[in-house]
Amino acid sequence: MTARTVLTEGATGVLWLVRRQQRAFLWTFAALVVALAGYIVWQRVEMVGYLRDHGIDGCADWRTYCRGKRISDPVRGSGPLADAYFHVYDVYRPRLLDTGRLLLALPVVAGVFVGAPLIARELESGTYRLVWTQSVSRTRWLAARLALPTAALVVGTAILAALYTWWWRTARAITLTDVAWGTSVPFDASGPALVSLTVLCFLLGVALGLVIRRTLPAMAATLAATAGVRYGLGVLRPRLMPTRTLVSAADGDFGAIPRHVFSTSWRGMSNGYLTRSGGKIPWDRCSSADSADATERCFTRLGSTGRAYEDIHPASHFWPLQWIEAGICLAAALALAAFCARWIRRRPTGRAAA
Amino acid sequence: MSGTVTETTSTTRGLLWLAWRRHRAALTAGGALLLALAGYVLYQRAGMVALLHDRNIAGCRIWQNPCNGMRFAPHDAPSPLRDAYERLDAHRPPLLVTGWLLLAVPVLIGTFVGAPLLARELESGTYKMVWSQSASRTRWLAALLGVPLTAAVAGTTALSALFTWWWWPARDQFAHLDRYATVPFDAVGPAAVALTVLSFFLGAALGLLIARTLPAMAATLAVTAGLLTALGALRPHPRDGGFWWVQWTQAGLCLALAAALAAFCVRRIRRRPV
Repeated sequence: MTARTVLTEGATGVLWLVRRQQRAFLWTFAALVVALAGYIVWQRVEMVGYLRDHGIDGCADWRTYCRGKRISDPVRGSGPLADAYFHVYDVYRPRLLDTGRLLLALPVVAGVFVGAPLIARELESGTYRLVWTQSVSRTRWLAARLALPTAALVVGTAILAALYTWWWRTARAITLTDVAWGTSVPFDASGPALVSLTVLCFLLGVALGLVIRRTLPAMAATLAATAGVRYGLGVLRPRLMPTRTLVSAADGDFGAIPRHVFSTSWRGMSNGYLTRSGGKIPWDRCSSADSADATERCFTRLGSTGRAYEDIHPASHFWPLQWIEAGICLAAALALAAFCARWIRRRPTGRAAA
Repeated sequence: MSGTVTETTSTTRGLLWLAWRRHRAALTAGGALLLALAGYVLYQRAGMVALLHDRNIAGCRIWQNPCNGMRFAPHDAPSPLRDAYERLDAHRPPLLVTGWLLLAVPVLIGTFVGAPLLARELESGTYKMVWSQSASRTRWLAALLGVPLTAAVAGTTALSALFTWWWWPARDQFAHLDRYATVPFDAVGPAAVALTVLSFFLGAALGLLIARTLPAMAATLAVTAGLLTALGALRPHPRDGGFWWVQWTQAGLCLALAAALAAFCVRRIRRRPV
């Protein structure tokens, strides 16, 4: 037998072992993806059918009329159109939001249940020593260990994120305009954000497992770390792109700005009054004033005119923000992968997971 | 005679010592978290209660008009009552977020404490060694589960008491915050403690059945999450009063289910061949 065949056989053996070890995960994950995808498709089809049957497809909360019928500010029980509106509000809105929350659990589960035990278990039980004495290099073993779950997670979450985005975008104009699109549902549950966040959390789990070397503590640490990542992204997101400022008329009235701008934007990044020179005085500056009069005095003292402003992210910022966040997450994930490769190369084989 | 008693006591002490050694890190971490949270609740509640008193809306209900001589005025007219409630709304996010965090406690205790307890023993085979010792299996089980369970009950009792104490003065003062919604209901009172006990035994029983740590943890996570969702959907929402009655009923049901699961664990351990 030549050295080359031995090497190939060794490598195939390791890959075979890795695949066997991960079969349970693959099947469970595939079943989960199929079930969730089926649910989303079913719900969206049903919802679109309902909208069509009741003549409110293509309508939007910010338009006063849709197909010649008055739709703004529907009142419960005031007619079939209002009933259809409230049916969407009562039935599909909670399902859409709950599905989003469920999808947000995927990155956490990927980190805690797939990433953290992946290497930590090998180190804890000592099986890595057997594998490391084989002809395959440690880096290759790590790569084989990571490749399959990463690929599965990317494909699975990409399918779910695409389907969820597809469902959300049909529904958002009706009954969902009060849900800011920049908050974790829907933002982190749709588009490339969900995929990259899953990859990042998975690698965070792998790295923590490698460093902590014990399964349960690594899983607990990963849970805390993924919560931290989610929180950090939430804080960072509004700052990833410069906001657009909407300015009112001299008397503080925003009426000149079309309603759909407010309805489709991610609002409330900052608001308050403008000074004569156009400087911004945010509301928080006067938040300690305890009556309407005191607030007004406070703003006057700071030099405000009657002109109000509001900083927003317009609807057109959705996709750029998605890709920026995905880029950040993937860069962090790559850095973690590089860290894992370095760490594993330097670890002496003999030392047990003490 | 006295020799047997001493021996029994020392075996129990040995088992307890083993349990403490094993969970030292988790118990210390849990204690530290509890202290931090207690500080936070103390601080938040002080601010909220001061506001209720300063603005004279203590004991008011959001739907009560007038209250303490103040009224909701139409639109732009000044209204101290509306101002007061608007101010109070700043306390809503911290209260709700804390409630959701506390709701995670039973789920985490079931998943990270309950499920691995027996599953790990079975997976690694260490139980065989322990079962050949002088302590009976039932006592071994009691010592294994007893320490973490006691800690979990003590911890969640403290958490639930703190959160109830914070939420209670403002229970009817936030718009659209139903008392019977998952938060606050499952994070306050005896219901919160009973949920922890139930999810702990769910984890233990699933660990015993599945006999592998990771799948048992994943199953426990799924089952407790499902349980919380089901409770939120099935719970009655009485129109007036009855809050504590629903609390104790739910707590009783959860504890009964937990007791059944505990009995199942004992039976199965006793009958298992070494």
